[in-house]
Amino acid sequence: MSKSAYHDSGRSYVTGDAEYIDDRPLVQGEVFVDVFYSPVAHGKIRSLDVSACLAMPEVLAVYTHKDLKHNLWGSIFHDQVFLAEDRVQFVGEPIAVIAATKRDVFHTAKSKIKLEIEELEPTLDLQKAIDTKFFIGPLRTIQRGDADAALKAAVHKLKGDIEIAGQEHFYLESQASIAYPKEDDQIEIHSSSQHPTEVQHLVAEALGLRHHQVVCVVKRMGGAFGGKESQAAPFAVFAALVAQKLKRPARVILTKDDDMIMTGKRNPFKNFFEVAFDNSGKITALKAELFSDGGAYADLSTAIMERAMLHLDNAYFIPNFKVAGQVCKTHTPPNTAFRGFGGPKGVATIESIIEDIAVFLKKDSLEIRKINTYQKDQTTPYGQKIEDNVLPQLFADIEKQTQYKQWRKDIETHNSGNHSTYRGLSVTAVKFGISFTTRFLNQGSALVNVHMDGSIQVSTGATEMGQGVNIKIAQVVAECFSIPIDDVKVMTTSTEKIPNTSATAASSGSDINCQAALTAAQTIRERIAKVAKAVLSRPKEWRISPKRMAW
Amino acid sequence: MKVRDYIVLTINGNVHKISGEQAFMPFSSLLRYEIGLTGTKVVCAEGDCGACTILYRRHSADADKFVSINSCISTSFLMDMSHVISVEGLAKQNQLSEVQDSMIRNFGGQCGFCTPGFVMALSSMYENTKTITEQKVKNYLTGNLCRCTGYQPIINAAMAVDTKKVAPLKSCYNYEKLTKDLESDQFVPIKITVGEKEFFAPTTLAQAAEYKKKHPNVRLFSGATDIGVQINKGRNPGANLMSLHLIPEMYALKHDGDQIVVGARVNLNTLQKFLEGKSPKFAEFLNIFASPQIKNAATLVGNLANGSPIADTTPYLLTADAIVELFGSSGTRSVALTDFIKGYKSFDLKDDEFITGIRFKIPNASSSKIGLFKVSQRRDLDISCVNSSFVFQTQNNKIEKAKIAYGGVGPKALRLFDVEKVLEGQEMTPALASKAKQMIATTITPISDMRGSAEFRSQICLDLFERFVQENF
Repeated sequence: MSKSAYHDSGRSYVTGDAEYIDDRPLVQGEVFVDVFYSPVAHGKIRSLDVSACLAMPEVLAVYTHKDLKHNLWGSIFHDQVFLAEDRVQFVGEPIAVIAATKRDVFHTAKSKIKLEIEELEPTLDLQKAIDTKFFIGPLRTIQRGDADAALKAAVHKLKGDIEIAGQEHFYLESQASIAYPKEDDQIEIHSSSQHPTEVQHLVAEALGLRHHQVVCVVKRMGGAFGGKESQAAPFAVFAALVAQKLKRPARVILTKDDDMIMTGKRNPFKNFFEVAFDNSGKITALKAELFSDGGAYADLSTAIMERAMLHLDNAYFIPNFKVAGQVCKTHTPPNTAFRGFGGPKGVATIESIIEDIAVFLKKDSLEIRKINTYQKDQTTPYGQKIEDNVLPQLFADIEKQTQYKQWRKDIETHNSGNHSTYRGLSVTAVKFGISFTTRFLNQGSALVNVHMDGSIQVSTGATEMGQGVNIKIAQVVAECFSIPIDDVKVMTTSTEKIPNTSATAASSGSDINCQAALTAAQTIRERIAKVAKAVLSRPKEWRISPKRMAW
Repeated sequence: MKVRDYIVLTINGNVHKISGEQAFMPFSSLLRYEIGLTGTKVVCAEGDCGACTILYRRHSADADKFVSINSCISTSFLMDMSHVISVEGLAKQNQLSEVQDSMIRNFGGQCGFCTPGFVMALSSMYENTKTITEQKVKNYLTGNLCRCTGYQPIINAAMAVDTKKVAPLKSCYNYEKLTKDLESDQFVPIKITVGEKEFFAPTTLAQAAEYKKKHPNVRLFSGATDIGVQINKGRNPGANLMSLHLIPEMYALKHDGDQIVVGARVNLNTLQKFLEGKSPKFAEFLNIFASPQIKNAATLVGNLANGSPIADTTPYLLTADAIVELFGSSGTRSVALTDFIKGYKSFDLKDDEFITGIRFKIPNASSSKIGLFKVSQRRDLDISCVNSSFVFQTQNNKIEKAKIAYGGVGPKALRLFDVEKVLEGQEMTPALASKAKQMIATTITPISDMRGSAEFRSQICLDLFERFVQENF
């Protein structure tokens, strides 16, 4: 464990051997799948005519929502349709699924679908959604103390807002799935997904199957960053639908353009705040309203909003605190998980407020941060005691080790000169909560197979997307058995080995799955130790000579 | 005329003859789906992310080194007469190359999807230079995107390679034999017909002119760094496609008196290297033009012929009084670039004519003040919002000759002759600069699009002039 290990796929990466979804060889009869999606942001579908598309010799089938047994899904609320029924709510909303015998016919095939839509006024702007109270889910609030009273009594007050734009995931491997129909109406689905269990469940539900008829397999992802936590599933459903209907393997590989059009991004936020502070810059109260742009459907936005609210204090103790958060709806792709999962929105907001206070008081922002940072055993507005708090020491060490004061002076000298460049300097802290806020999700399980030659295969619910979770699991297991790391292989993630898993998300993949693997490994080690003890304590003449053992 | 109905190339040491539909595929599709070499990845399919990077060497006595190109936007027929190494071809007998090994040891791969492209881009770096600096590494990697944000480990991997141990890529396979395998097809024109589509590669200018006369709408392919993108977006390039890659004269890059002649097939990297000592400003400007992968395929002539009003090389060529050389059934013809560009994607070009080269004078570096600028949303490798070239000859503070050109300010790139006249014979003063700026503002007619509003573009044009004045007077 103390030794650094290279990525277990390092060699396959550099030789091109590493297999991603679209690298899988074509199977006899395999068909290609693409998605026809809405060209307008908001509208009523008047008619859909796919006959010209179907008439193409390469096109085998076109499916709509009518072909699905169940069309509603959502990771938190079931408010989203896989395939649009009578209305569309964002550009890129899937309407029909096309199956064809060739990869390169989809531009033409899609252009032959005749869609009549009555366009409706869309809401495309977060501020408009705020103004018209176009919301998703209820308002959430966290509070401590009396922020209103403290603001009234404040020595100084500042009011403002901060807007944080969205961001495209741009995982290099676009959304991809292949579904293989198996005997007895089973489906095996290979997906580039952070959440094989959800893919399994959604495929089963959409196709009218039981969970035990669907297996989801995830070898690895070519990047995910949250974008494949919930949003890999619809594409898996589309591939599975074709596989079920045609009884042929079906492969959907989005182009980067279509992926960027169809899938959600980081939630844009608009946060309003009022802050009270004294002459030293010590914050006495903070009142904030956070609005996020959830896009057309809830997806994970309400959980993302909670995390933004839970991170608004960041590294600072704020005695009187009130934050309200509301997810807004716009006619854009449903926004989703993305590195930080809302945390950065809270953090950026309070850090921006601190810079504002520093400017107002004409002080160095580091001073404001130092006097506000959590001290030993203080509690957060949501009641968590800050244990093992090293923040005050960190600030002090960084200030000293970086010659911060000298840098600040140099910058001031530079900025007072007459030229066209200006410099800046800031030290910010981040307190980030790892693990799922929905607590029961913080659990995992593992399957450890010890083979007769002493080599070990480990499976968990973790999915590998470059973060190196597999090699960490291998390290833990190797350490537990006191064997070289090469004796351990972490196997492809599959719901038939490890079911009912949480998504690999929330910075929790390694903690949860390494611990599960360790628990399993320890159990086996104890059993082996018991047997070994019994065998080794037999009289010598009863023991099998190692020479007679065949490994 | 003897023709062949296939293209021929070597991939990882094997000769491949490609015909029919396969010849019209993006080369990455041919590699991945037809040959089964799935190590090469496709992400953006427009030559920006570099996941599809392969190593390429033209079959020619003077093309000794492998260079990196984007396989996603290279139509397969353009790979005729070349040697290609894909990521699967780097390791020999299970022995990893130095770059591959270093990438593992320095944790250069995270999700791994960009890794093959990075390995190939770095391999091309050691092929072409042995003195490695961090800046050089970054320059060679401008065409590769890593989204796990693993750039530092990749740079570390590049810096950790022992350049002495890096073998030339030519040693990967028996290229002496492979070269011979290609030779017999070198002077045979190609004609591949599939349904309505036809690809033609002549070996002489006369053949090309004849074909163009017969098919005036023929689409000429050079590096295909733009048309390749269009094809991937589902746009039809037309039925008749032609490439001049088998005509040796098209690779001319030479001095002719005080002019430089650049043939239609000279790629921008070759040109950049050629110009480094001669026109350092232009060579430097080409740094931000595009990634190495693009510049190893894209040509100067292609940049002009594509007809974009924001082509990055056009303003410079306008201020270098460039002349466009044409060939048609009645022979050669030369036209000044200012006259050649008539409007938006419209040229002084007859149906049977095509561009064979560009010649231009390099301004005297010691007596000239030169400013080449490009403004884009991203500094490197982005399509310009506005670009410009200023070339002034001065003596004793007096402007003897002024040449000003802008791109992205109207349907075509412009020389601003009227402004130049006002400046010539004068000393640069704030008053004169401001007068020039007023004139610039009334001459240009920019439009608003996703790369900038008309207002923004106008302001930028004035600012670029101001910047040139500030930096030079």
